[in-house]
Amino acid sequence: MDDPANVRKIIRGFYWVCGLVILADVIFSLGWHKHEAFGEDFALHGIETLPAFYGLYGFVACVGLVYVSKLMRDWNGKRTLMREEDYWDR
Amino acid sequence: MNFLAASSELGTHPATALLLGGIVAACLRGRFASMALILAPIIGLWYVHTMEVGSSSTLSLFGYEIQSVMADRQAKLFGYLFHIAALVAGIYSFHLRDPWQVSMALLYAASAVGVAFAGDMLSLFLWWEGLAITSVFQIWGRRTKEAEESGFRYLFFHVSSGLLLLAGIIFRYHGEGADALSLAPLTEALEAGDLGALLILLAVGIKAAFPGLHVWLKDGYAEATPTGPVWLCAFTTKCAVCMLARLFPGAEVLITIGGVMAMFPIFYAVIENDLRRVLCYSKINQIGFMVVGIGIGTDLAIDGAIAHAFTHVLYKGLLFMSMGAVLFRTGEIRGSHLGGLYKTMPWTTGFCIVGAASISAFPLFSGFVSKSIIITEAAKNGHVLVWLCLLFASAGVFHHAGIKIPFFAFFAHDSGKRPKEAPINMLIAMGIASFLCVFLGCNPQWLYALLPNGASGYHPYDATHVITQFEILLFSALAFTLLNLWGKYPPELPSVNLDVDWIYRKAGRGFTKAMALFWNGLNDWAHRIVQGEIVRRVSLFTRAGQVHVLEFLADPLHAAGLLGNDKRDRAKARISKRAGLGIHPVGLTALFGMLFLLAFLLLT
Repeated sequence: MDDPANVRKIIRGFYWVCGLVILADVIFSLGWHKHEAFGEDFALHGIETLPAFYGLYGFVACVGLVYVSKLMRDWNGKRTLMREEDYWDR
Repeated sequence: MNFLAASSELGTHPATALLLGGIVAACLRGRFASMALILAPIIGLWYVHTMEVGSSSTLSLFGYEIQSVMADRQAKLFGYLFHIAALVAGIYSFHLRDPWQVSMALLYAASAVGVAFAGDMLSLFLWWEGLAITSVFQIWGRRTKEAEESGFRYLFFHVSSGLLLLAGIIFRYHGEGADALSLAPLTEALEAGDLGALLILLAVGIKAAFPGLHVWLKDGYAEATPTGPVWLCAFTTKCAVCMLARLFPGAEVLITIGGVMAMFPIFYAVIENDLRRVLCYSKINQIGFMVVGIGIGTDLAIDGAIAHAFTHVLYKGLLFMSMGAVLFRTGEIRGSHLGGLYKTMPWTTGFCIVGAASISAFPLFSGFVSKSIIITEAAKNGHVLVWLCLLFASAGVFHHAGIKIPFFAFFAHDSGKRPKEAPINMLIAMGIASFLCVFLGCNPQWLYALLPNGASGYHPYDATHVITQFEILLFSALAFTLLNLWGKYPPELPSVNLDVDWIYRKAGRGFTKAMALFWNGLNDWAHRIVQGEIVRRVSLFTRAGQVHVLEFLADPLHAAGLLGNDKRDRAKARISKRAGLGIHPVGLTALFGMLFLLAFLLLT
């Protein structure tokens, strides 16, 4: 694990796994009946059954999560919620 | 009820084994005391197994009939869960030699079993208070100033919860009489605006860490002993979930509360540096799922909530155990000061990854078979926004608990720390919890069979569930990986983050200071005015007053020849001096005394 080459290999393998899951989703969506979370009368039905919807949602959610969390630390150089470790003892 | 009957009732209570274990552990020392940590849960587990569903028993206390035990399917499931959790935590804590921690841990587990099997509000209240008092010793056991203060803050919340519960019970008792003591659902009463039901919801809400009432959790658990959170995470919040499922199934407000609970802690978890506190936030997030399930209120959703409580105790316990082992070996739990521990703690690393996979709900791990029920039910019942929140929360929990915890503790940058592997008892406990996480993930039917409604008609392992779940998790991991590679991921920084506790730890302190300034200032002012001015002036007046009076009387007295043969001025000066010093000849004093007595007699 200390060798960056190994880390690169793991990351490359991980990209492949992500690709395979999307591929599986596409094949499954086209070839078989997919169980929808929502009934057909719901607005989200069409989006939710799109191949890769869950992947995209997970990715966007996590990027959003990280950026909002960073704003919780500081905003334009001003601290928002983060304080020094001894803050409570002062 | 005579004593014999009462003691036989006690003998048949499912919490008896743990209660006796706690008492025995308090009397013994060393390994003998620790043996109670293992034997008591095993005996209790066997006893719960032999209990028949539908059995109940009552106790007479202070003229009230208390239904001390009601063994339905839900109670039995929580009974199993609490005994398994106590056994695993007991093995994990086997090395402890602090009789307070050991005995109180067992009494704490006993209180939780008592809550699960409580047959009415009165027995619930007694065990509820037991939970509060016995659990705090897992925090105080650390014996630091921070832990002591945190323990008191923790107690404040939990004693308040007990008082609110009592107030709610009394309110309802006055309204409805003895019927109000039953544990029948209060959902309708709550939605009709019944104050008693609202107070009871608040009481349960404190223990369930509802938003705004949650800070005791991240405050207390993070200051507890290395073994403490393993006990704490198993019982208090799960008792609350158990009671929510009993008292408020289908209460719509819970869907909103649960949605908020599932969402807001993940933002905190991403920037939190204390890894046990990260787990606390993810715990609130997971309880949010359960609260949503209870709020949806269908049989399957409530089954999902209860199943999630079951799996959650195991995997969250496992994660707290792995972090406890790190803290125990390194004395450090801040992500900024850890990293690279996989080299010397490979087993702990492996167990932590199993816990992380379970909490993230990877297929074949326990979280998947329970969390997916709740998410599916949210969608099936048309809660679109909540469904999106829960999906977001699923991605988020993988992000911070599934990846961040193992990554920053065991991998990331090499901190240079080379601690020994965790002690054997800790490894055994983590091994059992890991086994159960994988076993339940692969054989959900074992868990489903115990649920109140058997999760009928639900199959977690269909292709859609598995593929979509893999997709959401892997792409969350992809986001983490890319952000890390691009240097956009927030680094672990030695810091604390402001939460609702700022209100009472800072603003509250400011309020105390302001009040002290105002009231002490008022006190000082009053002191200055009354003692420094008024009293001084009165004293001056009384001292100078008699001088003036006597000076005034000196002339007529001299004229009457009562002041001797001195000259008038000299006699007057003598009188003034004596009056100023307050010394008069005995005769004069006696004369005045007599005059006053006469005046008094005449006036009365």
